[in-house]
Amino acid sequence: MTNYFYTLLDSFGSFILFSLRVVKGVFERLFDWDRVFDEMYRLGVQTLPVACLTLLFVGMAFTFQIIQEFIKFGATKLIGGVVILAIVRELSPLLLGVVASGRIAASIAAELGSMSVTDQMDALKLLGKNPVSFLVPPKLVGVALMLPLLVCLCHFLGFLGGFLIVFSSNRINPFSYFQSAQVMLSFHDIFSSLIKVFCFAIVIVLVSSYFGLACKEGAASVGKNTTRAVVVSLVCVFILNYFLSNLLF
Amino acid sequence: MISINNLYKRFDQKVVVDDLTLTVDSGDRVAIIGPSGCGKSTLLKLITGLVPLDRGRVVLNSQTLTVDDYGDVPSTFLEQLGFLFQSSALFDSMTVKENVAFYHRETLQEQDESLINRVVRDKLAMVDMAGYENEMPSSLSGGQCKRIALARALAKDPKIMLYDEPTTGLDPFLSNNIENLIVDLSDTLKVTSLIITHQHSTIFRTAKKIYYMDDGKLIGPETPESILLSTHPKIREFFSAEVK
Repeated sequence: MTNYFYTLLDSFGSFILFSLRVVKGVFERLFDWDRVFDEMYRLGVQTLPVACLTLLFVGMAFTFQIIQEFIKFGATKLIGGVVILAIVRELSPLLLGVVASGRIAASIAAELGSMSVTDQMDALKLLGKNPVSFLVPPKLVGVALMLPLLVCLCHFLGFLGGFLIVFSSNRINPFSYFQSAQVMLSFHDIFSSLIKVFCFAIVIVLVSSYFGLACKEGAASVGKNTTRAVVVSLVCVFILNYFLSNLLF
Repeated sequence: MISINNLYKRFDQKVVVDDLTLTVDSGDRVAIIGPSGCGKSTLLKLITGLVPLDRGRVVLNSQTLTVDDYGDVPSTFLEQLGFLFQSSALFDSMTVKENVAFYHRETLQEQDESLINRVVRDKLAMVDMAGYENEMPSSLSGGQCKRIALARALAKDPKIMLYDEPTTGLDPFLSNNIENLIVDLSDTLKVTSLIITHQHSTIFRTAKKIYYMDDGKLIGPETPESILLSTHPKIREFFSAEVK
């Protein structure tokens, strides 16, 4: 038990040191924009279809669930507002965080892991580059810029999903759907959701890079650490989401 | 010149390099041979600072690496070193040109594209891979990857080249090709070469001096002529196993 605790503490300590080195690397390379754009496309744009589909259908499912209850209580005029608040404050940032944990964390951990086990990290060191400050900062900046853009699209698609259900129900005035959303949604909600996904992006990139670079030898360790990266990223996103919701709303 | 003094490395309870001392003169070609797992590759990683030393020091042409330098190997020390990995270790997300240009573009932050293009052209010509600039490493054969990796290492204009199993896994023609390259580069560029191998042909084609590594210690030096006459049981066993 004591050994386990020390190992955990040791890992946490090295993760903090690793994170500090990455942050230092970000400021040292202010910024290698070509590589940042590469990462934005590779990690961000390619996450777009999954994120869009997820939020469209979640928006539809959420509205479908609440619509009956709101009709029962005669509160149909509030549906648009409730949907947009649920989407913007929680569903959209959290689900984008989940999608990113699967898509982006796996991609980063597998890429860095396979580089580690094929001696490419050692080659980088011998060519005078520190793998951490060379490889991770462009990913961090790229994903941290991309997720806030993606979440705006997710907000729109989640709300659109809700609208499709409202429109097809024929029992609610579509105009009131938009009107209540306009009344209940504030700029603060949108801004806070951007802060949320920005924090998720940083955690996802740091965690997945840390596990990717920790791969030692063989394909098995790449698989194991990729799984770990996804699981730890997911857990971190859920925990962080709770605290940020408390702090921001 | 490579000067290794009292190098010691242990992983858990297993001593991999045991108080090892070795000097390789400038321009010399030295091979370290031995069975798989005897610590040859670890020795190379210790020399480059990729693995921390437990004790001892490495001196490359007056630049010293000590126990305290791990994680922060002086750039003046690394500048002198070229390293050919057993796995080639080409950056698989980059083209051949980007791989060879890496040191100038990323490490030296060279802005002059014409200089970078000239370096890439020259180094690829040296390893007989001109015209492959835009290929991705995944589209190349093992031997071609080795040659590109060699061109990338040579882009640093190293004074010392370390080769980790340079011909393992290659067919006899490609092995021959790489061995000729090692000899040519050493003769024309006067590069000091340390070659880790267990390939019979590589030992005899490339090395001027040969050491046998056993239990973390070096036995030798021998010459390619004398090593076959060695009476040391481990060396005899190594060569008779190779022949069998």
